Amino acid sequence: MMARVLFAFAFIGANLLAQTTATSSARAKALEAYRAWRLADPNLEADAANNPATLGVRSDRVAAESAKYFAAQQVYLNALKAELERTSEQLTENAELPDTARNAGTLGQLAGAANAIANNLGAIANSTDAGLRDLRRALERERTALAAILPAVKEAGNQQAGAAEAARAGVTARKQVATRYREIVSEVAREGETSGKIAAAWADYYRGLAAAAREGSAVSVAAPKPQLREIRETLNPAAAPAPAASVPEVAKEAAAASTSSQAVPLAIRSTAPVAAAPSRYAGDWMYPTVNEHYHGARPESMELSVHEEGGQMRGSFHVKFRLPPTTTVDPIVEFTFSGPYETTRSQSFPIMLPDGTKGTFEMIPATTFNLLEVSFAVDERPGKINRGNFFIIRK
Amino acid sequence: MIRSLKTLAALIVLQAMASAQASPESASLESLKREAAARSSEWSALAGTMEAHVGKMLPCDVRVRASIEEVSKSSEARLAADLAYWHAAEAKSHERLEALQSLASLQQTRAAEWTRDEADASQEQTSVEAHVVALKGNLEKVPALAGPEKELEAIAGATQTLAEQTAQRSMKAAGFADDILQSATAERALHASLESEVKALTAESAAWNEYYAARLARAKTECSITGAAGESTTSPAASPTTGRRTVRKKAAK
Repeated sequence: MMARVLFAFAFIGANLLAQTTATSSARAKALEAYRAWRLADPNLEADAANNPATLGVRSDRVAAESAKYFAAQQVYLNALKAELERTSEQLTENAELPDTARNAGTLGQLAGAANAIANNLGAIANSTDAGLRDLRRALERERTALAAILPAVKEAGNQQAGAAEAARAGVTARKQVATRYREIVSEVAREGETSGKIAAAWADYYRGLAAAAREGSAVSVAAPKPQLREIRETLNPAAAPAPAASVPEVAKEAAAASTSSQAVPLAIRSTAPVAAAPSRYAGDWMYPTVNEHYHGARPESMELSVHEEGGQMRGSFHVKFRLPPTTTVDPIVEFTFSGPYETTRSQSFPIMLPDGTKGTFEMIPATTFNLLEVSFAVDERPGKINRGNFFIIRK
Repeated sequence: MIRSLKTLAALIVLQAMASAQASPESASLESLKREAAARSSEWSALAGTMEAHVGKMLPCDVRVRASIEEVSKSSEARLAADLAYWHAAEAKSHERLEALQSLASLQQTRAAEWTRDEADASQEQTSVEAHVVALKGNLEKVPALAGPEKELEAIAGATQTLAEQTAQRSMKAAGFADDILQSATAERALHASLESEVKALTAESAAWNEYYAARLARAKTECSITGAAGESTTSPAASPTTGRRTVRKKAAK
């Protein structure tokens, strides 16, 4: 029995803990997600005309945070709704009223017994027999006992009637509270619906912003598609010239077969003359899924991880290019790199591929902290890509 | 932290109340009620025929005592069953009272959160409107932003609707805790009535016990004044009310 009680309490505790955690932690998570969304890029709209080329990447990032927030908000509203529904149900279920019918038979019994005693007492009232005196005393004791029952029964009946009335008042009051809970449940449900619609509208908006950015950047870059290296050198003459390696035929074929070669807009490159701090490069980077900017072969995916410690930089690079299905060219290029951090505008490292092929890898800061241009060039190898140049975003 | 603990405690009691209502304990209250009704019916049937039954026996017939004791025990059983039911009802009412008080406290916490939700929704509305203004300012330079700008205006409208709905929720919460406390007051009145009922039943129970003791004493006296040497199990064949007649005969002397 005790074990069952303990189990019941443990079950109640566990159940309740889940309920509390559900609403309170969901609310906290929604608030956290909201802050992350609103701090992701507060100047996105304000910068739309100044930096249209980066708008796509930036709006993608904000869109992701927006989606996270609205998902968290839905979880919170659903948890709140469930909690309120449960409370409302608890307030109205099993509202039984005390039974007040038990006295009806009792009072009848008492009346019958009282009459019988009265008759008996009446029959021996005038007798002087000593034996009957005992009987009279016994009957009188019985009558006194019966007389004491009547007010006790009436009192119990009155209390039952009072309890029934109080119970009815309690049920009415609880039902009123439950009704208010249900009203709030409806409000929360409406909020959930509106929030869902707003979430979809924000997703459309950010997609539209990215599309507008593509149009905007096409307008802003009036020059014909220049070679990336040439642009960089024009913007920053201090940058070291890249080795004039020719694009091998196989890479040319791959580049031509890729969907399109996106001109790298001028606005995307930073013109800052000073060297960026190591933290500008450190971190995990990826290739954007929309608003890509590349030169040569088009990447499908890319992972770059950069670490800095005590003035030494090291990292790993893995890229998979999007090549036509018929080609036999290996779409993957991967290598690791390391070297000292230089107080120059970009960072350049010698690299060696797993097969021993040598080359260089360069990271050039773009206009925003979450945008980086990367470029690699290695010695020509048959069936392999030996050059790549594109913009990546911070994860 | 203290507020969170209070909220947790409130939920524990509320959950306990719900579990108590929906679980075997609820069924047990119902079965206690049935048990009380059954015991009461039994006593009613026995007590209703006791005097007629005993009246057919000789005063010293052992079955007289047995009959009275049987009814007395039946009375004790029905009053005990009654008390068990009202005790359980009182305990349940006490649980409900604590739950309602905790619920009022929890609702105060929720009301404060909902006020903050309202402020956040209002702030978001302001933020979206600022984005609309910022984007509008760029339309001249980048006409392609016209589409997104229109979408953002639509979002601003929906955000306003959401802010109004959130404000509505917050408004409905105002004074809600007081309503719950009123409900707790009603429950407190019920609990007091149930406590009084338990006391009244206890008093009634004592009175019935005294009555059956007196009835048994009378039966003993009736036996003793007939002058019988011992109790007999023989029942009078021709005279169903011999005992009482004996009393009357003695009274006539």
